[in-house]
Amino acid sequence: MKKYFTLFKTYLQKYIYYRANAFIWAIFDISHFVILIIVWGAIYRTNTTVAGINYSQMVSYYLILSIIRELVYAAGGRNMIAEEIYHGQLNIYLIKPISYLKRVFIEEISWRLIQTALFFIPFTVLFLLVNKHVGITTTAVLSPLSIIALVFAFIISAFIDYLCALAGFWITQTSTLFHLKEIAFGLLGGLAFPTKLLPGVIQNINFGLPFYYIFSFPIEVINQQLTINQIAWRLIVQIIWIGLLMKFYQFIWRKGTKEYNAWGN
Amino acid sequence: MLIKSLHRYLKLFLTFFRFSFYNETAFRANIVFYSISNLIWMLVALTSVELIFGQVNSIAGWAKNEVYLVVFINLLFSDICWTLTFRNMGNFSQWVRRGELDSALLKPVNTRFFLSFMILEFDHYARMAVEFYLIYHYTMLITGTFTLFNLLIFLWLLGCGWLIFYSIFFAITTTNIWFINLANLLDFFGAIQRLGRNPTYIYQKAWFLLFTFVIPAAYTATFPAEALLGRIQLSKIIIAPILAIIFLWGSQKFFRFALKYYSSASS
Repeated sequence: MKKYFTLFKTYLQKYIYYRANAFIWAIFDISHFVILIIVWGAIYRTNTTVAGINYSQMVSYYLILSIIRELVYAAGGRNMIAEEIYHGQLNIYLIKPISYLKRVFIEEISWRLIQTALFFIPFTVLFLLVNKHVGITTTAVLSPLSIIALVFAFIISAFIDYLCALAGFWITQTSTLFHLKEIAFGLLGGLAFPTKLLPGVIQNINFGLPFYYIFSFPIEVINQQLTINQIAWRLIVQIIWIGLLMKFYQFIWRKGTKEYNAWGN
Repeated sequence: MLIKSLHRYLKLFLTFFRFSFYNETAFRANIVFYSISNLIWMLVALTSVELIFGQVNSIAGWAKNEVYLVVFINLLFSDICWTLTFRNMGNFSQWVRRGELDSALLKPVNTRFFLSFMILEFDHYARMAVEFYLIYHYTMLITGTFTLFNLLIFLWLLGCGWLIFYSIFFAITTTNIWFINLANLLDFFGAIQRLGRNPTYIYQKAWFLLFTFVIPAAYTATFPAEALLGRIQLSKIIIAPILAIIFLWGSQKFFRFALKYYSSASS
């Protein structure tokens, strides 16, 4: 355990060194949501509700989504695993007495922590600007259930991202898979718009898929839109998805490392 | 002299084109994969519009077909950016980090030209063909006509828009000289040019001025769409090249200023 804590500290220091970059990314990330809020503002100029959602609810949706995205949107698969497989740098980790998955998780969490901490600066500015439209309470954000939902959401998001990266054992370019993942996160996960806007049939199918549980579900918990019973069931579905994705990851990892080749390292 | 110089750079551009083509066709499956992926992204953009118009009748006074036209033009703009310069700007960070910018600085060509057009992409042509057809189709659907005059103004505005955004992206890319590791700038560029994916009239007051003159997202789709629809004001046509020249000049000044702070890592 000590070695992983040391790794965590090392990665934390590494990303603190790149704090200027992280801050620039925080600005980039928040600007995306500012634009979405403006777009919806234009739509609500002529409509009081859209799919039963009023302007105030829509603004709080994107505000919460902006912070959840920073916390749970895993990118270690694309930025680390896929790159390391492609460039043959995986060798370095295969011979080390540490779990590769744990190491990626730790690096991912270190980056997320620094990124989220810096994100709070532009987030606070945005929050103060649109404060009159939203009704988020700190009690709701910090409730144990929302924290559990967020942790599970991060694990699901990470496994999906890492699975896309593991395809790199067989194909040279994995970016198409990451594009497909982004599309699924955008349309079915609620990253582009609330999943309530989807047609009823697709919404029902979506409850059985993992994407809804990454962004939409934690937002609904924080917004106190679900009963305790509904939250409990959806947390169970999150656990099932984590189990399935983890098993699938282990299976692909075993197969992939047997296929893996690298030269010149 | 100018003609000779233009001829030289045209020849150089064609050489870049040829080498990029050889490079890309060495991995033919990738081109197919990316082309399909680009078409899927287009479907995603259309789904978003469809979902919104499933709930409302217009956005800032623009009807569904008009918004579709704006989306197709913005996607075409995005494809032009990717085909010509984005990959090179993505590589800039690597050039600085590895100290390889020296070799570009020492070449007997304009450094900016070399850094901007060295690698061209080929997986956007399929989507561009679809977009050209859809732009024509939706213009006909809305107005019933598609005139050469409107098309020329459309191309003029889109060209100026590209020059403006190329300058903005190049200036941002230049900041790699200080920040060194801004590796994912392309995602940011994607986000900036998506500002124009909705009619710019959704932005009000200061925001409208911001997205017309400071980050002129209106020139990536809304104003070219107005040109095709025959609704464009003369002032917007005249302002376009002035903005393009200002942005090009500003980004060149910034690039020269930034180069003073470049320190090689290897030589």
